[in-house]
Parts: sequence; structure tokens; C-alpha cells
Amino acid sequence: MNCIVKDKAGGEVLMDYCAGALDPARAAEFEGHIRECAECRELVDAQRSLWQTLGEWKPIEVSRDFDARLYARIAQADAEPWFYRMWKPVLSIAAVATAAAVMFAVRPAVRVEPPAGPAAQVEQINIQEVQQALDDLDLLSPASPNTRKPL
Amino acid sequence: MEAMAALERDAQLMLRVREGDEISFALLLERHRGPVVNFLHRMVQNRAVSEELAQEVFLRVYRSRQTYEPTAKFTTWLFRIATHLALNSIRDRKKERSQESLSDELLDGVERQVADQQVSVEQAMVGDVKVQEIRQAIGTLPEKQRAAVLMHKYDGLDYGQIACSLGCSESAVKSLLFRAYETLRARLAHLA
Repeated sequence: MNCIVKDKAGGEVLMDYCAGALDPARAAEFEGHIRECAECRELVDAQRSLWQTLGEWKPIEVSRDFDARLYARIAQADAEPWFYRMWKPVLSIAAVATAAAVMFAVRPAVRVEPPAGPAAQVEQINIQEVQQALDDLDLLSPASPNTRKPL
Repeated sequence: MEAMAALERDAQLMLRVREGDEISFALLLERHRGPVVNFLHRMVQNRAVSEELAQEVFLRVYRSRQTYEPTAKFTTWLFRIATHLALNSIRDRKKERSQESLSDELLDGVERQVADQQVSVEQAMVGDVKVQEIRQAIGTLPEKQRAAVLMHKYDGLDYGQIACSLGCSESAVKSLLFRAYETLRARLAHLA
């Protein structure tokens, strides 16, 4: 066993030994080394002592209503329509893209006098379609009352 | 069936959750609620925030049930989510603090007083200055070192699991841990 102070992998041996995670054969070998090496013995004592000190930070009790709050959140999440949950990210992107398309379509109409003729009709139809798509998206947002059984 | 038997118990439970078994989810929650809340509490050092984050962890687990595949140990996956949320929360709080301008010194002072009072109340309840020193020493470690130490010391995760949770190599984890313990040995030497 090499000296943990000098060896590159010494840190791992030190941590594992003090955490009780070193396999018995290597632990015995290491114990043999620290009996002879004062520097390593000092380091092991310091790490052991730290390990023990850290152990004094005891775990906290979890709030009693933790599960109830969690299940309420799960029920709320489940109340969203399944297709909305599944397509939520896609719908978000689609909504942004649609909004951008609306902005693009509306801006020239405000600035420029709409030309008479078939071109103007095409533009009007597009805006209506976009508006319809936005209305459809709005319909997907509200959550319907959930009749699902609690977990 | 043999493959199923070879899977760890948590992964088996999670596969049952995937099939719609809600009792299995309750069992997973029962087994891991405490460790996850405590890991997060030691990370962010705020009870309310840690419970909120822990709720988010289990909510994400539940939401991912349909796509769950037991490719890694369940605990590793759980701590990966928890670590990610904890690190984000710490960074958000840091950003919030840095956004407080120097012109808001008065408000800042009030906030600090409130925070100090909260610590004092908790300190009085715990009645242990030693624990406060441990909290402080761990709290001032760099985030990744802190997460690595907490998973190693309090949750018994091995280097591979910690590496997976932190998204780095095992050798990086060993290095993080060694540096963290070195710092803690120096800071907490007087408590020995």
C-alpha cells in the first residue's frame, strides 16, 4: 500500500476507508501502512473525526401534509386534457409561431393601404385562419373538472 | 420474468407505476421522501424551499412514468432530478441577491435581519451551535462540491451514482469530494 499523502489515488483510499467502504483486504493493508506512517495516521484521524462531526447534522422531519400536497399537485397536472399534456411543448411553439405569423400578416395591413382585388382577399382569409387557430388553442388551455380517482 | 426479478426493487415499483399501479408510487414516495427532502434541505438550507423542490422531484417522477426505462438505478435518477433542481434553485437565489442594488441598502438590511432571525429561531430550537457550524461550513462549499459531499456522506451514493447525478466523470467526483473534505477538515477541525 502506497502512502496516501504521496499517492495520487490516496484521496480515494482515505475517503473509502473512513466511510467504511474499502474492501476488507485493502482496509487491512491500509491499516498496516498507517501504523507505520505518522503523516497518514494524522490524515486518517482528521478525516474520521470530520466524518463523525458531519454525522451530527441529523435529518429533519418531513411535513405531515407533504404527501397530500403532492397528490393535489399530481391531480392538478392530471386534470389537463391528455392531448394538451402530450402536445404542450409543440403547442407552445405553435402558439409562438402563430403569433409571429399574425404580427407579420397584420403589420403591412396597418401601414399600407390594402390593394383592391384578389390579393387582398387572400390576405384576409389568411388572417381569419390564423385567428381561428388561436381560438382553437385557447379552447385547449382551460382544464376540465377532473373526475379521476385520487391516488 | 427473470429480467424483472433481477431488477432492483425500486425499478420494479416504478415499472408498476408505469402500468398504472398507484400503490407502487405511494411505496416509492414512502421510501424516498425523507432522503430527497433532507438532501434538498442540506443543499438549499431552507425547509420550505426544500419541500417545494422535493414535491417537484416526485411530480417529475410521476409525470415521466410512461417513458420510464430502468437503465440506471432508480436512486441515481431520483438524485439526478433533485440535484438539478437544487442547483437551479441556488443559482436563481444567487441571481436574485445579485440583482438587489446597492441603492436598496435599507431594504437589504431588513431582509438580512429577517434571515438572521430565522436562523436564530431555528438555532434556538435545535439548541446546537455545532450543527450550525456544520451547516455553515457545508453551505459555503461550491455547489457541486456540496452536492457531492451530501450524496456521499448522508445518502451513501457511490462515485458512479454521484457522477451520474452531477453529470460529470467519476474521477471528477473523486476530485470534488477530496477538495470538499479537505476544506471541511480545516473549517471544522476545532469541533473534533
